[in-house]
Amino acid sequence: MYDLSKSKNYLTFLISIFSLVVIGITLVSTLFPALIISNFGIHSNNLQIFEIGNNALIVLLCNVIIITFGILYYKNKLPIQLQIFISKIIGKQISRKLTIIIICIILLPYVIFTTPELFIDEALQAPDYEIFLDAKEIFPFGKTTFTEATEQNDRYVRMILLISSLEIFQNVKIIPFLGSIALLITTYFLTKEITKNRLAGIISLLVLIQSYTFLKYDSFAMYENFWVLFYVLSLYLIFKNFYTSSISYALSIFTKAFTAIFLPLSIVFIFYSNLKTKTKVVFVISYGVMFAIIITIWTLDASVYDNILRFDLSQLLVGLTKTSYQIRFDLLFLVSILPLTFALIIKAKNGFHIASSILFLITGSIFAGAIVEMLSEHFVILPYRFVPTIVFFAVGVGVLFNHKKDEKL
Amino acid sequence: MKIFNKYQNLLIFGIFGFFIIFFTFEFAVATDQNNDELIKTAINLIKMDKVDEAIPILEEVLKTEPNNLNVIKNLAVAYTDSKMCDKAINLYDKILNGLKPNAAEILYGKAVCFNDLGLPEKTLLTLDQIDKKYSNENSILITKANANVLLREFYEAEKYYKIVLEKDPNSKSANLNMLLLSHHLKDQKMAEKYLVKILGDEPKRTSSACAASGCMGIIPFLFPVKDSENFQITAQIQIRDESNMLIAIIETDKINYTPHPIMNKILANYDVIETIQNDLGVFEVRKIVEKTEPRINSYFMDRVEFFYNDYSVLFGYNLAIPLKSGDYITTEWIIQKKI
Repeated sequence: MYDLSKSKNYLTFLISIFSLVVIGITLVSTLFPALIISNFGIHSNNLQIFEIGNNALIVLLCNVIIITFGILYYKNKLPIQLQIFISKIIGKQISRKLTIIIICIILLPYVIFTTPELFIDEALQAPDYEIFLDAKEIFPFGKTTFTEATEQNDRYVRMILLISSLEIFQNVKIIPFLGSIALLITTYFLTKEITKNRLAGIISLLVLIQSYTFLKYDSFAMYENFWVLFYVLSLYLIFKNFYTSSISYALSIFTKAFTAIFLPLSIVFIFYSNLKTKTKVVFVISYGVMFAIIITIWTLDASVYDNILRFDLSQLLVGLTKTSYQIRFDLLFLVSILPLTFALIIKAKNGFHIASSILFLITGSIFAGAIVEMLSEHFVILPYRFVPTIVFFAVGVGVLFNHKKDEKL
Repeated sequence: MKIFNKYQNLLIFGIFGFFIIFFTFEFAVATDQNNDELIKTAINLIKMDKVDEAIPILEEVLKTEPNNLNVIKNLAVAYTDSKMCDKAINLYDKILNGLKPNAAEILYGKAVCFNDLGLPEKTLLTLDQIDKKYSNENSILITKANANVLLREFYEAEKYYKIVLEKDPNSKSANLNMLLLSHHLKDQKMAEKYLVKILGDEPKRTSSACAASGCMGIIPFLFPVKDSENFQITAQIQIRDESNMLIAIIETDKINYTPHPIMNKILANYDVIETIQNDLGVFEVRKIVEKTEPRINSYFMDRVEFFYNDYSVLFGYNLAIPLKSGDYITTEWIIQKKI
């Protein structure tokens, strides 16, 4: 028991260092967009490496304000009434009935305002739709020399869901939009399950629903959120029905192979969970079996994935800088990710170990994109690939609302 | 009168019988005439490339004339043109299984469909059933070559395209497919030859769909620089907002270019900034800098292009940055050309 607690602390330390490095590179690139690329880029240049970025001032200012406020709260230096008010809010429990009403109040306008987007022609919005249509022609076993179409067809679950949307509703966007709504609800349940606090779940729902990146791609068929949904669901099922967790994870990988890189994140999440050690071992075995099955299917289907691997270490760093501009409109994320990182580290240090795994989910999902850049010439980081990061960020904010009487923050 | 009364029933029966036969015949003739007109309309629509409008008409006629070979054949072709090959193959099979067994044009249509469905093995099996006297037809050779491309038997495919080009050097389909083949074979000398043949000495944009990315890989007018022995190109894109504040610096070496000789003509307009030597040879280095206001799309900016005569000659991709109105980009292309 002592050993497990010790190794949790040790891992928390490593995750903290890793997270500060990842977030540090992201924020440095926000402050000085040319700094890293001028040193590690491929293009000869004479850039001004310390030229200030357009989001730099707001990010810097907000970080100073939030961190100062956090320190004052942590040290009990805020006015007493404000201190009590904050403590009350973050520890507040709300009833199930009120929760349902609040969720309906949040989701209803969201659905009403997003519905018109469903009637925009996907072909006019996304050039990838043409690739999808080409892939659909030969799905599932047809051959093509068009690598992009082959890659689409290797994402079996996604193809089935998109084709179903077309066949059933004559609209390719309907099922992806339902998937986005399901993602919002799953995010609520995951946060609530971690914190045992419905208000925390609602906070995470609000943080996700305000995100520019989430709202931008929530009704896009080509940039659907099924892969995020299945992955987040697999995390939630760890608590609820662990036999089905690996199935949900497999569905996520067959929707977008990118989530295969999330395996260490899932294992760390299981490690920090309150499950029995024996159950954790069974979990890891079930994930191992799931990966063996996936690799077998890809091999049998002559998947495109084994043909497009490479190794380029310099792309790892360049890949990390992309976060700063690909989610440039997600200002809440950019201005509060560093304070949130500190808060989660403190929370983990104070005994709420799962905060470490949430932090690892946030920073690991950013790092996963850089890994892809390093290992593949074909796949690159794209803005919609930050939807899981935003989801975990939302869960992370929600986790701050899990307040125990003996715990600060 | 008595006689009239005696045969009254017979007379009435006769008159009714006459009318029934007359109207039935007239109706049948009218239906036939109506169907003939509908078929003519549908065929005209197909000729005018309005296949989607022709399909429901032919489907309607097929309900009343399920064995009309002309209707089935035209509908199958319409389905093939509309990429509804599952339906087309059912109709081709209906013809082959009774109405016109082993008909060469039907087997050919079916083979084309199998290629569209990504089933090249079935294409080749179907084409093998065609009478030998048709096996040297250009359309059949091209379909056979296309099947070999899908099977990645590129040299086998090249053999068939070349037979077509020997017979008809201006065959548009064979020339375009040779261009496509040069892409797969990463043979940019071959690409140059067919680009000049297809586009002429002064290429211009042929259609809006093909301008940006060379038809998204279907007809590659642009080729990856990394496959070239003669060029090395990188691009650096500075994105700034309307206040001139720096948003991001993005670099890419994922660049497609045209191997058309026009490239040399374009580069002659820019000064050589330096000459470098490396393991691959001696290269002249040129720089092209261009400031543009990118088109704001629904997803994110994922490409930069350099145009000549409205023809995309450089295409950098995999950039990915969300933009808003007022943002502008400065693209710097560094082009190293082997001398």
